Amino acid sequence: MRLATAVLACSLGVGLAAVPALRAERAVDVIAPLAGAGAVAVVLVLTIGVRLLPLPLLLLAAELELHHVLEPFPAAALAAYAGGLLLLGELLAWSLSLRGLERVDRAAVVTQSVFLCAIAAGAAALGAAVLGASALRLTGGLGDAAIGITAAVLLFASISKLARGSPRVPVGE
Amino acid sequence: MIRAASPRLGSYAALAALGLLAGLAFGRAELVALAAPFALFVLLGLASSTEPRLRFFFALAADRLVEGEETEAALSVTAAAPVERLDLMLPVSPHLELTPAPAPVAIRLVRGQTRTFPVRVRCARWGAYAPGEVVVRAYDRFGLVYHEGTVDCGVPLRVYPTRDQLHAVVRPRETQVFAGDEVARVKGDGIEFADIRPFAYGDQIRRINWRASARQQKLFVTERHPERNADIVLFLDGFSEVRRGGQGTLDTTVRAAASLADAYLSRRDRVGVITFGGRVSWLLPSMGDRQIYRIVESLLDTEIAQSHVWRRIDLLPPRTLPPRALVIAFSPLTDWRLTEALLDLRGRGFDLAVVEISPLPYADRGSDDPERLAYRLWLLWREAVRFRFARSGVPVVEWREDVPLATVLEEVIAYRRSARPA
Repeated sequence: MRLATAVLACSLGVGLAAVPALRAERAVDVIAPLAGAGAVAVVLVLTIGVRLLPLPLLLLAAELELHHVLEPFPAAALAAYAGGLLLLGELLAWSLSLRGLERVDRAAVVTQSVFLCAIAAGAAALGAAVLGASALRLTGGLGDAAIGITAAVLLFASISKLARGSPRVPVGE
Repeated sequence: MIRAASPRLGSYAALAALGLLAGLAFGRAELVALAAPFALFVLLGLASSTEPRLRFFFALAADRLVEGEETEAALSVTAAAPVERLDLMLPVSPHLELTPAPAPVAIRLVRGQTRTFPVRVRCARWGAYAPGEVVVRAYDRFGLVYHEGTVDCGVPLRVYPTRDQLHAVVRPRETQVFAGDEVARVKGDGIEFADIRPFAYGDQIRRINWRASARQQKLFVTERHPERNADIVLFLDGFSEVRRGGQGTLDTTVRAAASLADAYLSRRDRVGVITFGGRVSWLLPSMGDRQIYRIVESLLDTEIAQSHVWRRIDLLPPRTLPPRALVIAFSPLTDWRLTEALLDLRGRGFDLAVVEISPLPYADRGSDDPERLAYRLWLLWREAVRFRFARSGVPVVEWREDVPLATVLEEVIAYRRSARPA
């Protein structure tokens, strides 16, 4: 099971790295090394551990962004890429969490697979929604920036509030 | 259980923060589009995290076994609320062998579902165990927060040492006053012939030896040895043991003590146990069927307690060492404190026999010259210890694992038969 998830994660990682590199017409010599580094980072995560998880995601996102700056990507592809990145992170984490397990319940595998598909689709939809919303001009440049900053601050305040006290707190048997 | 955060939580939060910040700073919507799913994932993961409500139950088909026996066991887990993924591991003592091997498994439980994992437990070594401790890690749907910990639903399992059938045991030099199977040295009412002597005033008529009286033309009476019981004290070395892998001198000591206690108690002797070491424990001499269970239970708790404290025999209550008791010591003779204590016992007039549980099979001879020299010096030191015992008239018999206990006891018996009592 672990091997299957690892192979799947590697394939997805290579695929995500390859898409911008293959589509690039200019600055291939900059994008291709980033793609290679991203693919290698995926393998590194599977070898070393989950602590390196941000590395391939960051490299692949940087590759996409660079490509998008030089040659604009279609919005649909951007949204799909966002879903792919989250799916890659989850696949890598799932594969690593299976390390050392002798047996995994079939029901757990099925529900996790369905969940991964759902979050990939959800992430793509959210990416598309964000891109769609960014096209709107509500109050002008400064006002839109203020709305964006407020939304980001609110988001992280919520995360911080929920996460507070979560690590290593005894909650009983 | 402890609530803990997955490393993904920090990674995703950091990526989301970086993406959003960069997106806002550079005015790039695609960066926000890439970061937003991670941020939302973290938010949902934290918001949906709940404490798992699990109940564990561990059952054993038998709670008292003898070494080498097997029993059925089952671990059951019931979820009062759904658990998306539950990693379970059943760690047990290395002396209990589980079939299938206790490897971690991941399962999914819906509300009210119970899963049972049957295992076979083989008891490889005597001891008191409490299998059933479960290491648990429960993940929620998003897996960003998990609850982990050790749930103790252990049930006591007592594994008794195997006992050898002994046909001959070391006979004590002195007996006690109660009836038993041991022919006393003293003369009195009994069955075993001791001597004949001239009739004296007060002798019972039925004790007259008519055959001798007719031959000598004078009345003679027959004297006999009474059958008495004896007090036996099993003296175990709790200072040190030599161990390699799953075997050690303490294992052999406990098996031998259990076998001897069984053999002596079946002769209606009183048997007591003293564990003399870093932790001193004792069981007063007594007889009867209940005593064997007391002894075996006390042997299960025998362990080596590391200590550098000097301990003398005065530490023991007087009743643990009754006068005229036969003391049989089991020791690898690796700690000089026990040697001194035993010689002290001998100096106080106790009838003493030492069974040396040979530590040599567990010791390494050394790989280089200094180590080999140290090994030879150690062997010489052991010879010197044996010589000290021999000089005090104490038989020391070396017992190697491949030799039956009965053979070792025969050696002790032969030594005591030929040695002059001190």
